[in-house]
Amino acid sequence: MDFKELDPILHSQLRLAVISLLIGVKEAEFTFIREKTNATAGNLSVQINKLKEVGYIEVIKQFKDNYPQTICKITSKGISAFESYVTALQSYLPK
Amino acid sequence: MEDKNFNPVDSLNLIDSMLKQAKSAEKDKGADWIVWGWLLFITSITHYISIKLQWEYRGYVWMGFNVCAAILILYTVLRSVVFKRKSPVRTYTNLLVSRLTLAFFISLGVIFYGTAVTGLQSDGLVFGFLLQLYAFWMFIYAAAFRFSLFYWGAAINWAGAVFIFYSKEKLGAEVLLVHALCVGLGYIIPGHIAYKKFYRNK
Repeated sequence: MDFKELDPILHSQLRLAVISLLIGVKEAEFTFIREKTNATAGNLSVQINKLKEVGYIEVIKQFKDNYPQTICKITSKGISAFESYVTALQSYLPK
Repeated sequence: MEDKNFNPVDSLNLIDSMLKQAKSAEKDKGADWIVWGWLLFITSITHYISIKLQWEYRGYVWMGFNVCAAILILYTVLRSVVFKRKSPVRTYTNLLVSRLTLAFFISLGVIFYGTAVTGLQSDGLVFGFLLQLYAFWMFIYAAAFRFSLFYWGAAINWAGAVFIFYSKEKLGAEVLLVHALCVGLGYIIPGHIAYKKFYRNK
């Protein structure tokens, strides 16, 4: 049986959670992602930066009511990577 | 959530769980249905009473509605521009519904214009066109937010529209009661239930 290689960027619990969450919405604030993933702000920030560096997500930093706001959205590269990851996962599952 | 590597089954479970979380963000509290429902209901009943009591200024009843509607639309537009990104998440459903709302108001304007210039407004047939437009909107809303009560609302409004077209001018002022009844059953009751459900699940 051939096992397809899993994208190391996505095969990490928190990064996969972020991408899975963003694939279902148009865009989400950092606070929303933190709440849904139950991650700490520091860890989430690090993982979001990694996803941003590889171009899987886009991060928009702006101000709302004088408070900094971070908005994340998945990119088309991120969508392709997620689809490939799910396809690769299927090769590990018993048929 | 710790950042660690894990097995493929864990991955699939995590994806499933996060997709459900994203889906749970697709909700609406139904406040617009309540506000517009009551506005339409009160205007229809007031107009009906004014006709029966032969009020001198009964022709201004819908003008009052138009003023309220203009204020509401202006408020909605300002809210979406000034308080942009108020929600911590924007879903594709929310985006689609906001575009549909715009399409709804454009269609509403076209109906008002069309029935006014063709004379259909004066014999009450305009309410048939309005009810079928409401029904269309309710049906889409029910599907978008998986709120089945609005399917019933849509069915009632379509039935009301057919009844108005079938009865034509025979209905007279009672067309306003049909309109009010359909709005009550299609907007107000499901709207209040959606509102309660939203805060119960919050």
